[in-house]
Amino acid sequence: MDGDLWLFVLPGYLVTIAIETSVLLVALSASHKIKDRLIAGVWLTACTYPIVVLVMPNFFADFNESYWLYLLVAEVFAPLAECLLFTAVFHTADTNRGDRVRDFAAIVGANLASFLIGHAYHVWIA
Amino acid sequence: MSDVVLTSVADHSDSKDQLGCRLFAVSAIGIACAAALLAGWAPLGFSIATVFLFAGPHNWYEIRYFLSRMPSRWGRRRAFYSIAIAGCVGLTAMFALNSWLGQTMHLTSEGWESLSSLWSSSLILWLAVLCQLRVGESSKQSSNQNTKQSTKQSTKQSTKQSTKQSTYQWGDWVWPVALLGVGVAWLLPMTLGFGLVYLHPLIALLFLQRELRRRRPSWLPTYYCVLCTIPILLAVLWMRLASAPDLPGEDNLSLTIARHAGSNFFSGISSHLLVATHVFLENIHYGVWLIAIPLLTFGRVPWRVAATPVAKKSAVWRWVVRGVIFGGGAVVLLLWVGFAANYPMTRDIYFTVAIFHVLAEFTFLIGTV
Repeated sequence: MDGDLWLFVLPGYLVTIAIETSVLLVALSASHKIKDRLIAGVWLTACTYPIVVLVMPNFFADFNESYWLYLLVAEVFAPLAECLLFTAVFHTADTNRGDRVRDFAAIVGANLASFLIGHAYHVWIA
Repeated sequence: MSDVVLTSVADHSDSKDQLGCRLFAVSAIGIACAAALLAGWAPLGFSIATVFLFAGPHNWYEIRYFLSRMPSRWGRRRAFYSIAIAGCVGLTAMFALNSWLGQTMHLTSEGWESLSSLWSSSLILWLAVLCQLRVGESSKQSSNQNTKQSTKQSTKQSTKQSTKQSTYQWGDWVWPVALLGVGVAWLLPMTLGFGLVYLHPLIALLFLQRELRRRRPSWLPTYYCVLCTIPILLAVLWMRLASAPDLPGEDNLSLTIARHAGSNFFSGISSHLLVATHVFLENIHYGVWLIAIPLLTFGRVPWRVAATPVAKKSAVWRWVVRGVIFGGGAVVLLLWVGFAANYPMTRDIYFTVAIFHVLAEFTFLIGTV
């Protein structure tokens, strides 16, 4: 395996979990316990990150040329998949519409935050 | 007087059990040592002989064993067994198709890797679904128990609390692990395939452990000690063969055997070491399925259809079981004829189709946890 990729994948995994968990901790609806928010932060990222970073690039023939298309697909897939996973595991029949909408907004916000921070690092620092 | 007779009978059965346990340990260690010795000394010859003799019969016995373990009524396990059987058939077909495409379409290494990653991903996701179904079953059982307890206490408060809880359970961690596995399958495409080649023989040891737990629980400590001989023998093999030159044969059969052991994938490792390790582990696998488990389940006639629970489901299932038992026997004979007529080609076909029994092992391992 490419050593550089490991250097990117492992820290990226941990940083993404840290960013998304922080956002979810603050922004998820009040019906969720702190423990559930922490678990959701780790669990959702752990589910989608390997697919976005390790699997999806294989489906773009020239990765550098189609980088923006990759970003578009990945940033649509990740929040969508996370919303579905969150609903399957953390929402019950009693969860009201307002709480659901707020949870989805929190998940989209968490993904947006991790994307913007990651992109800023990519453009200005790396 | 009667107490004395009972005590002496108990002592006699205890000493008989101890004798049986010692006999089991000595035989198992003896067979493992002989397998390691022959695998290290003549890996190609030993591989040819043991695959010829035992590959078919051990598959037949395994399928027979799994049929006898499948319950007659699936009940709430209907989804589990349906997905398991569909996965075994579908993944085997996909594996064979990949192999056929690879050989007929002259795929590039990238093409091979993509097909391999796709198959590995499907396998991982299938296993994750089976795990999730099992977790769902056990959590339903425990929630049913909780409901019974709470109805006994009849407190409205506890009902309100339970509806507020999320449906999150520890089994949901199956998905991050599985999806990480999918990621690794695309990063290191051939890894899972060769992981199965080397690890699947050891799954038989888990089935043996379960049989011992059911039938001879007092033998388990001895069994765990016997298991320690496997890493020791592997270490001896690796130390002896680490710097051994590659196997000499350049003929089709020798190259096929080395390829099955992963000589193309593990570059820089002696093919002698790889083939010896593979043959040694395969023989442990054959030993468990053809000697240890049949002896433990002694008294069960393998071809008696009526003794199979799933055959009691319906007349159709009785015919399915008959077909598997007697049709499987015919396939074993056909395999021997094939090996005698064209060993390399039959071996290649066998190792492609044999993935089915590996998948069946996974199914029953998860299903009986």
